[in-house]
Amino acid sequence: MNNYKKIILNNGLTLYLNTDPSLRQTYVSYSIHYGSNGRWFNFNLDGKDYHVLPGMAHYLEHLLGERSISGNMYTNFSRRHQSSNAYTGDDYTCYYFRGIENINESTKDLLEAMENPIFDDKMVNQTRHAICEEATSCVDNYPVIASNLVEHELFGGFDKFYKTLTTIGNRETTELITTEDLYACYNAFYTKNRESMVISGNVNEEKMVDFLNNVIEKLPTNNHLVTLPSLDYSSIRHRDTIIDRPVNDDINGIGFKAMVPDSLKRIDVQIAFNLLFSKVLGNDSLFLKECQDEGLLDTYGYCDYGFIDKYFIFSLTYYGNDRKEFSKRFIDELNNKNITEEEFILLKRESLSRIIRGLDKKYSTPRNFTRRIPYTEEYSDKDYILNLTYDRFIEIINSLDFTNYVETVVREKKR
Amino acid sequence: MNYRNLKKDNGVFLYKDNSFHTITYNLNFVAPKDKKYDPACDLLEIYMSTLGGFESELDFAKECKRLYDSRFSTSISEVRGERVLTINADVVAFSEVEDYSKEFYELFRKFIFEQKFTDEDLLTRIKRQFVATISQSLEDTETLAETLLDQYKNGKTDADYEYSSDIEFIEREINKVTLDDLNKVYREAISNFHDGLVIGKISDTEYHTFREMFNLTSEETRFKAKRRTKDRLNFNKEVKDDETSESTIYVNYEIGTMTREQYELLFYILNSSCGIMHEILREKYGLVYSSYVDFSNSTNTFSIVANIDSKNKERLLEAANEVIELIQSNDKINELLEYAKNEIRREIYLLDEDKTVLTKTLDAYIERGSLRKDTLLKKIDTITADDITTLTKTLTKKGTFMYRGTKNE
Repeated sequence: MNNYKKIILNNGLTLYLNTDPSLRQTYVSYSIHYGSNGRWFNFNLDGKDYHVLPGMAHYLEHLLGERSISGNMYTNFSRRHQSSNAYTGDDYTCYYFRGIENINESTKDLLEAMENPIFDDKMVNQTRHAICEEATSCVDNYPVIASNLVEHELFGGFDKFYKTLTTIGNRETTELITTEDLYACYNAFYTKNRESMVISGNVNEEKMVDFLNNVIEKLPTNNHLVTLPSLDYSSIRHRDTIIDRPVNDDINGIGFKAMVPDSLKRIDVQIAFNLLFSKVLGNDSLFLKECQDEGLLDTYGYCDYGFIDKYFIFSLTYYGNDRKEFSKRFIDELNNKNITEEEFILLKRESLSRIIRGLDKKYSTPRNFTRRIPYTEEYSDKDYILNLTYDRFIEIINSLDFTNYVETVVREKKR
Repeated sequence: MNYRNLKKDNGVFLYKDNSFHTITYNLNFVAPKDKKYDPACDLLEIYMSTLGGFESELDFAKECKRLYDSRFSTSISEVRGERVLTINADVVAFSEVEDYSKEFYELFRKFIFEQKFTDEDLLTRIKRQFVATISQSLEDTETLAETLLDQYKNGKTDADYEYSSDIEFIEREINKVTLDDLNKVYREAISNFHDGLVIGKISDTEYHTFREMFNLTSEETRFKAKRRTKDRLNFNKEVKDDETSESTIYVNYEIGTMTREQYELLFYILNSSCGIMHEILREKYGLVYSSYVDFSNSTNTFSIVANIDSKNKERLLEAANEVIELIQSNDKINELLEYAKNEIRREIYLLDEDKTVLTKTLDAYIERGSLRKDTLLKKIDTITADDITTLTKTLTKKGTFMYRGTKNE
């Protein structure tokens, strides 16, 4: 995304502002670097240790938006004819709306909801039922379970997901969540150094910043002290894991964990890995064709990558008839890194075209324009691609080691 | 979006717009309707997109990559009773990078006109992949529920390929398909060009090159509207599955006879009622985390769909009745009208901000004669509360369908 200006508001909240006169709608989002990842299940807040249940970030997402000081925030957005939603990811939670009019009013509602929680026992219990239903459905979503299993096994030092392999626990854990623990998580993680806003539209920078600062000065500040235990991110849970579920076909998985050297930024790794992945599993890959011809890879499930602490992780679920053989070949191919300069030019071209295409639909879903702040503050991937040289690309991929991996399968249990 | 920019040229519609960064070509051909070709059509889509007219799929893929990741796809769908093969090409605008238009058009010509169906190994592989994909999609309870509902609505069974949820049956039907079948469907379709749409950042010269290289002309434009078929919704059915705890329920309504304009307006009114529905289902009754409305244009039906705990079925039905009664009463009319107007206004703005929406809107306008959004907006200003009530009162409750996960019961 181009032309976002980074502004720090008076209370320390980071704002990314994009003034775009061509837009008739305004897009507003609020993100917090806190999600369903298990590394936040244990923490110390103001001298007290907490060991919380899974699903806290998701529960907070519901509570803060639906039981705010101005009522149900989403209903308010809807009444102002704005569309809105929220989602809890692995390591961030995001709330957003977009609309034509009454943007300031909704932005105020959003900030008040995020910065001034009012939920009590009654509200927590009123919300519990819907969340129980959602958690219950997650337990039977086997393709997602298969993907979560891979990432769960990549980390032996903490539970990335709960034992049910869902991101939000299950019915039993949801029923045990308390108001006290919810406030503890809020106080620990909804802090200035974790939060950010993104606004994109035909807005006046000075007026918007003044408006936001005026809203913020009336809101409470979060001065709690939190410490997180140091976790072992390096160890692997199990190298090879099998679980049985009533699926039609086995869902295989493979995941990698690569240490990112201090000399590299996240955008270096992200883009270089994308090019490498395209080389290995792109449509013109001989490796892919051989795997498909032999039935080792019939179709993909989920493919995901991201960063945790100093590590870059990548996971893939797929359907195929011989996971051991596919794993062996895939690992070899990924670590081969024998890419010619001619191949690199084609990969760059492909990547560039993807970025150019993205310009035609940058507002099609809000996830396209909201920035995941922990990841990168590079505003233009296009410039990065254009300036990336072959030597630099080889240097980056050679510093990533993809020999630390796990294999999994969600095995067909006969119905 | 400016409809005046849309030019018709012997069966091809052209919409030039320099705010795009890409060019999209959608070409429609009429394929044989016989149901026996259903499995062949499913495989044809994949086969064509894999080889692209080349002997080797790797050569095709490499050439696409060389030409700035040019993307091609085929899909076969039913449009107003006709089976339509749509060939789509999506490219980075030539002026964004360098002029590769001639090479692209050669590749596109090959894709459309020079496909050969001689690779048995590829067909075998595609069959296996297709079955795996279908099997995977039927893991999802919502997809399974939707498939079964479709089956019941149309009086079909698992023995009807188009509506089947029986993966073993589907696999058997797929395995019967031969290369000759693919060839037959393809040859017949390619000789039957119906219409096309070219949209994006394309210059006059680039467009003229396209027209010269592709001899595609047609007098036809829109597919003629067929009489809407009646859905058989007068059933209350439940399918149980003890391997899951997820349940999906459809509460079905029939929409009465009305003009196209009235139907489009009702569509927005009912979509706008999602906010009300959410308030009632979730906040008042404490049910569901996921609910939405589902329309079937061809069969005049509307459903409230929810993912729920199976134990809450009766409460959900009570809540759904309340939603419909509220929509049909005068209390909410003005609110619904305002929602509908703003939704249409937002869609108009989205046409400028999201090019994929613009392409789909133009497609619908050309294909089905969908009302222009600005026209619809003007019409809404002339609609009264009584007009709305007349429309909403045509909703008639027909029955329910539930895919019931009994694992936790």
